[in-house]
Amino acid sequence: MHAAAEPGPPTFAAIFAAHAPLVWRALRRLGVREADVEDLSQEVFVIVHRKLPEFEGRSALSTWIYGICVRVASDHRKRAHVRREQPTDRVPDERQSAPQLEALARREARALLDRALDALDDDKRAVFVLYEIEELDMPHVAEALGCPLQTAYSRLYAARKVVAAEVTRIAEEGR
Amino acid sequence: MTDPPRLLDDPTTDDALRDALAAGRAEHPTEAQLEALAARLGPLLGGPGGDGGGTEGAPIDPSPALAGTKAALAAKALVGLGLAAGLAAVAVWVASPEPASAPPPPRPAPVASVEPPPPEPAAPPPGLDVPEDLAADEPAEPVARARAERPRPAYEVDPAAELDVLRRSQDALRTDPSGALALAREHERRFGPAATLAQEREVVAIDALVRLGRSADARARADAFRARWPRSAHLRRIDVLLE
Repeated sequence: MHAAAEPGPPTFAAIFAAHAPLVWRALRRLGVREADVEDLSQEVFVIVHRKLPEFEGRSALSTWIYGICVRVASDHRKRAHVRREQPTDRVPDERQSAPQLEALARREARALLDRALDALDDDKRAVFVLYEIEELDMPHVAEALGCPLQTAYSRLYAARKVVAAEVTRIAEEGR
Repeated sequence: MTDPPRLLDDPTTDDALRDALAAGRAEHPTEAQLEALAARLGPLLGGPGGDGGGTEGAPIDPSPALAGTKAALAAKALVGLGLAAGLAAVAVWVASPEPASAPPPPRPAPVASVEPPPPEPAAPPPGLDVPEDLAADEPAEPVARARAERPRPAYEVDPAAELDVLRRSQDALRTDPSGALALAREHERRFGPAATLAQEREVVAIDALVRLGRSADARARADAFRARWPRSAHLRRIDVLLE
């Protein structure tokens, strides 16, 4: 009787297939403009490819990749030439179909989210995005960011206050 | 410590914030966007123009999940790894601390190179009519003689400094191509013709020559690049620059 073959390490192609949407979305919420997200996603996967042989599996692969996303996005945002995205999502005057209106509503909601996230510093933003949007558990958030768990909690609570205040402020601004 | 309920699951969360979070979670790239990304990673995913087998032991075995993107890979694989991405990736490698769960910092390595660095070319022999910008890359036959006559210069080995010079040269391209070219020369002088980021430096130099209207020099330098790195992921970009 033959023992079942041990599953080998994931191939780069399999990792790409499984994580590309996740990387894309995380980068967007971490402040990468839509126009830049393809470049930055590429950058993330170039790093993943290079470091894969050294990945020891002490953390989940996705946690490890999120950590790379956070560093790449942070580095990108620090570059002087990076401009903040100007939200252009406004409902046009002409009549829209129901699906169009839904799509517009989602885009406006995302624009609101990104504006609120822009009020956070990089550290708080990373914790908030990984926990509230990417739905990592807090120990994994701390692991991805390389910070103590207690620090991650502190950043999360601080970030929540800032985001809630910013959403309220933007809503009042629009009235 | 127990994780708090997520805001999206908390009934007390403001509706506008709840909608915003839901919209953020629901955002996904389109199939076309993923195909474009896969095409740019073609060399690493085993597409044409790459090494097909990954580097440093990473197994490459295109999965069925990527089957839909393979056609795109075949068509677009040589879009290649852009200079900005390459430089920024190196920056992350060189300058960023590792997360707690990650392995120790790796040795600095070229990001976009998928082949081992070529041997260092010698300077052209005196009297050879080679443009100044090409001098260091022009294959020179009397290599042994030239090396015997002149001691090999000691080049700096400092990836962060290399990256800094290249970043400045790239930043200068749009407004000051002469300055960008000068910085490319400085890079070569300090870090050597076969420096870690030699390919990226050459792309900047070719770009600068094109912007300066020195098409013949740009083409000659591009030819030298192609001869030296025939499988480079940057060749596609160079072709675009010369179009």
